[in-house]
Parts: sequence; structure tokens; C-alpha cells
Amino acid sequence: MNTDEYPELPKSLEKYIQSPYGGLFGDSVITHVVHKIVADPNRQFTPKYLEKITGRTQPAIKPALDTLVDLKLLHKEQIDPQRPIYEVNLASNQLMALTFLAYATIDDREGSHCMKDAVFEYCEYCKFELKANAKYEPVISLENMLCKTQPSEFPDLNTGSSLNTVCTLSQAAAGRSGY
Amino acid sequence: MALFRPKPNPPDVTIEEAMVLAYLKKLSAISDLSECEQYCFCYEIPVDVKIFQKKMGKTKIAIYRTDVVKSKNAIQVKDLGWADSWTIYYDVEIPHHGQHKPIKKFRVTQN
Repeated sequence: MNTDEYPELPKSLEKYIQSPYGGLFGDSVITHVVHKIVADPNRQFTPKYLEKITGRTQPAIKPALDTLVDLKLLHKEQIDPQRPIYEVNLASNQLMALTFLAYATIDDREGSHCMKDAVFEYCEYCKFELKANAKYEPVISLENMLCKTQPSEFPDLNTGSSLNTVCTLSQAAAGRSGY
Repeated sequence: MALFRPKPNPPDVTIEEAMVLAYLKKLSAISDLSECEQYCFCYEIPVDVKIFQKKMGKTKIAIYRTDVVKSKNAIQVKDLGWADSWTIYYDVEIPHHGQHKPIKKFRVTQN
């Protein structure tokens, strides 16, 4: 298709290309840098590359990058001090929140539900991670068991039943976690 | 993340194409076309954005003419529900450590 055959971009969408998050945080250098790193978190960034994609000067980019390193949103790789490389901290909660914000910007404009889907995905991921980390923890907590079980239903402590084992495990877990 | 996801509605996309959709969504679903092409190039993703747009159709992805960007073209994800379902299917919707990265070889662009 020839370039001229493409339709004209609606005026209402122009600000979303020019300003990050539809202009919510203004037009500062750091906002542009954040917008780009949130969109592409698996990349290694150089000041020169950011200079190119944000259209800002290198002296303006450097303090923005230093701020983002201080905020733990970026890691600075010091392989060559002359050419620093920056990587996004994938464990950063700020990165996750900014990703949700990016989706929220579309949702408010288009009436879609990208953010809800992403939040749901995040919850599923958190549940999955919790389960994976709690591999050796007891399934039933002591507190939960005491709430649901009548005192008469407790077995004799000398029988060595599974409930007794769970109880002992829960007490041990509670002791470990400091409760 | 080892969560099972049912296959979304067609047109089908590859994981690399889903990564492009996720990238565009995080840029308010609209971006400079040349920037998007550069994203594909730097990651060595074998996705030609213009061919991808043609393959998916105007109802899913659209390219516009505009003077507000250097390349004079912008790309927009039109069907966000469809894009959402594919990015979720390939687990590229949200960033996390356990994410499957089909591209291990990073290349830092200097020019």
C-alpha cells in the first residue's frame, strides 16, 4: 500500500503520540523516558538510543536516567563507564503500576478493559507465585483450623493423626513467621 | 507463568506479533510507525509491521497518515479486546521475571 493511501490520523489521537499518557504528566524528559522503558522493559537502553526515540538531548536524558536509577526503576550496568547501559528492574512495583497506567489511558479513551485484564493477570501471577513459594508450608493455617473446628473434634494428641500433624506444622510455621 | 489459557479468537498471531501488540498497547495503543518498526528490528523479531497490519486487517490494526511524527505514519491497535486476549495467551501482557522471552540476544542500537 502506498503511504498516501493511508487515512488521515484523527485529531483526537494526536496528543497520545506527542505526549506520554495523553499528557497526564506534562511533556518532561523523564516522562518520555519512563513511557518508553515501560513499553519495552526487556531492552537494554543506552542514553544515545533514548536521545533518539525521545527527541531530547543527551544532557537532558542523563539526569532523568540517574533519577530512575535512584528510584530503582532502572539498573545501571557499568561494563564500560563511557557507554553505560541501563536495564529495567522487572521486579519493580512502580514498573507494574506504570504498566497499568498505560492501559488505563487507553481504557479511558476507548472504553476498553485492558487495565482490568492486566490486573486480573497480575493477581493470577501473584497467586501462582505464592503457591510456588508455599510449597513446603502447611496447606491449612492453625488460625483457620481453630475457627472452623469444634474443640470436641480435635483428636487425641497421642494418636498421631494427620490433623495433629497439620496442627504441629502450622504451629511451627507460625513460630517461624514470628506470629 | 504456567497458567493455562484457551486459544483466543482468530486472526491468530505469533508470540513475536503478540509482543508487538503488547508494546503498542503500553504506548496508549498508538505509536510512530518507524519507532514500532525499530522495536521489531532491535529485538530481531521477524515481524514486518506493514505486512502484519495487512494480514490482520484494518479492523484490528490501522496505519494512518500524520504530520505529528517524523515518519509521517502512525500505527494504532483498533481491536483492543482481540489484542488483549492474544497478549494474555502468550503471557506478555505484564512484565515479570518468569516471562518467557523468545529473544535472548539483545542488541543495543547505537545509531
